[in-house]
Amino acid sequence: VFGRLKRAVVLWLGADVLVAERDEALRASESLRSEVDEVRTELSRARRSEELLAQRLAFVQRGHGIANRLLRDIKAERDGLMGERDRLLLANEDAEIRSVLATSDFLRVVEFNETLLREIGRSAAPVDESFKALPSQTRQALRDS
Amino acid sequence: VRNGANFLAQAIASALDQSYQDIEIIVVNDGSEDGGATESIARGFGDRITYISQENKGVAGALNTVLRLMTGVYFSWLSHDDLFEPEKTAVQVSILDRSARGRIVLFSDFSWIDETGAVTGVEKLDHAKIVCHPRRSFYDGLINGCTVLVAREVLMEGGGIEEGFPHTQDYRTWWRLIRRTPFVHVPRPLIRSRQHSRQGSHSCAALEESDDFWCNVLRETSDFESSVVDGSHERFLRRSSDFLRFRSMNHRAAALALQMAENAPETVSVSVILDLGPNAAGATASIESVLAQTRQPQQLVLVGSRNSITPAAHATLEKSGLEIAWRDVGDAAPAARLRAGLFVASGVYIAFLFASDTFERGKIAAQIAIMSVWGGLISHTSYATNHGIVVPAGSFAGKVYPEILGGSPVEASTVMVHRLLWASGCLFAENCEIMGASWIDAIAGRGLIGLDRPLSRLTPRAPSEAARLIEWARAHPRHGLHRLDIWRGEQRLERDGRGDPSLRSVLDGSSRPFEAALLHPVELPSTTATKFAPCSVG
Repeated sequence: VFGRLKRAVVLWLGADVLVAERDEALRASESLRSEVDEVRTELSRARRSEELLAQRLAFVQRGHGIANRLLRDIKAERDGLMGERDRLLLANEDAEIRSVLATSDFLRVVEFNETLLREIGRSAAPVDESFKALPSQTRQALRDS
Repeated sequence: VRNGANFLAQAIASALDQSYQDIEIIVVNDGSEDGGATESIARGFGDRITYISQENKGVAGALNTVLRLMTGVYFSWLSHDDLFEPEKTAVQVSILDRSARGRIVLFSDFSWIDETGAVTGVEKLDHAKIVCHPRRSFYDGLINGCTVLVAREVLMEGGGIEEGFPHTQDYRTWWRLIRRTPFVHVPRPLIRSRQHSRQGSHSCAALEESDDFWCNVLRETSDFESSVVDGSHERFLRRSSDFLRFRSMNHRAAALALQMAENAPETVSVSVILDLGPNAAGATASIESVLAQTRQPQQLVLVGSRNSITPAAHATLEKSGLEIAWRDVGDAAPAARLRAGLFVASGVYIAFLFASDTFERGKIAAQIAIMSVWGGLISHTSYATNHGIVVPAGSFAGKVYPEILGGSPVEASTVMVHRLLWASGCLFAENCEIMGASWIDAIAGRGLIGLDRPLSRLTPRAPSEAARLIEWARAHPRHGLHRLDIWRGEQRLERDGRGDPSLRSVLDGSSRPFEAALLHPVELPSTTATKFAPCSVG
């Protein structure tokens, strides 16, 4: 009887420990799940911001391409006007005004292009920095994905 | 006008005498305290003018009143002591009509007159210089406000004339406009500007205000903006200092300009673009050569894979404190790799380096010093090969276009450019993979600065692009016109044996064209800079 009683007590105590362990495991699993959810959210946000960044970069690069084409056109026009002036050896007022306007336009496009290039530099470079700033598990998740 | 009874009648008469008739004349009495003398003169012109009387608001306040009330499209102002030439409006309106663009600011030469109205001199501005550098008209203080004709809309968009600065309101307005509107000089005197003893612009308060204004201009003009005007910030500051000291008596601003000019080469930012290439085995030496510079760059842009450099090199980079940027573009052509690096380079001056080459210690300092003081946008240096041969490429300098089409000794690892060239679309065009084409485009129409000191150490690198470069130049709309120089280039190729298509593929793998031209290279110690010009350079 004593032996049975002892076994029952051990089982009862063991069951209690098992219940405690089960509760602990459930809590751990819950926290793990929320961590996984957090990483997922972080990952989707990172992907979205990467997408947006890529879109902005593509947009600014298109602008840079247009600015470069404009610069080539204006330069060709200005070279033509300067050449015309040199050939005629005479100051043609109209040609000169057009040449000043071409030079001014050129400078304005150069400055606009510089703004675009700075923007491209900013958009292209910080990808690395923002990546570094993410929590390590998110970085790992991003790498795995 | 304020208390301007002495000259007002002549000024109004000169405005009424304009050969261009479709004009509206508004006279603003800005709180005169002369017992009604100014008012009675103005009223004497009857309904030929619109007369407005207001409490004293200063010149800017009076002009803004006119801007609000005027019904015309273009605006021009006249001080009570100055006179318009009869053809002023007609000439300027005809220019605006012919240019088919209303959004420009016209200004002109002018004559000086004394109190009696006699002409004492003519202020003829250097028209040719202004045509090439329109913004200098502002920075050199060449714009006389009364010579201006501008669309009202342009002024109003900028907020009208800036009030609160009785002596510098005009230049404050031009400063806002010059960045977004072309200023066009008309090379003939269109007004007469009177010099007399009661001029407010000669007072101490005027000089003080003017000094403050120019100090602000100097502080707020960025490196890039000033380089657009003069090629470099230092050159801009030195030229401004001359103007402020000797032509406008703004001594405080002149001293500030000089002080800023002294510091400019030290403070200007520099990027180095290091192309690690497909095989970065030698990158450690090139990275160390950048870090060992007497004048450190602010940024190092590495083009290539992070895995391509050794852990030791990584550690050195982390310790360096430099801003490091990476660009991985796979195995693109060298020109495309440098182009990719340029996109993230943030420095005002940008140097290039291939992983197989190295910089000598003072390379960056020497190139910045000379580019900064001369305002040059591109420079290169002589170099030594790793066999100890000194190639005096740096003696190739000055106006070398179109000669450069006949053969170029410019090597990428010796070149430093101002970022203005990159923003001008001159460097590494997207559809052109020939490195030499960039140098030709950059040099066309401007000077090349050459330092005849071997400041880089280069490893001969294949392939040569001379044959492709000649084909490119021949097809180019501008360079193709210089047939004689291109022909010289072809002759040189023939002489080197590269003209023979059967030999071209073999020869393309040989050493650099400039070295190949040295038939009997002279062995020299690497530290000696010696001048000898091989015949192929011309």
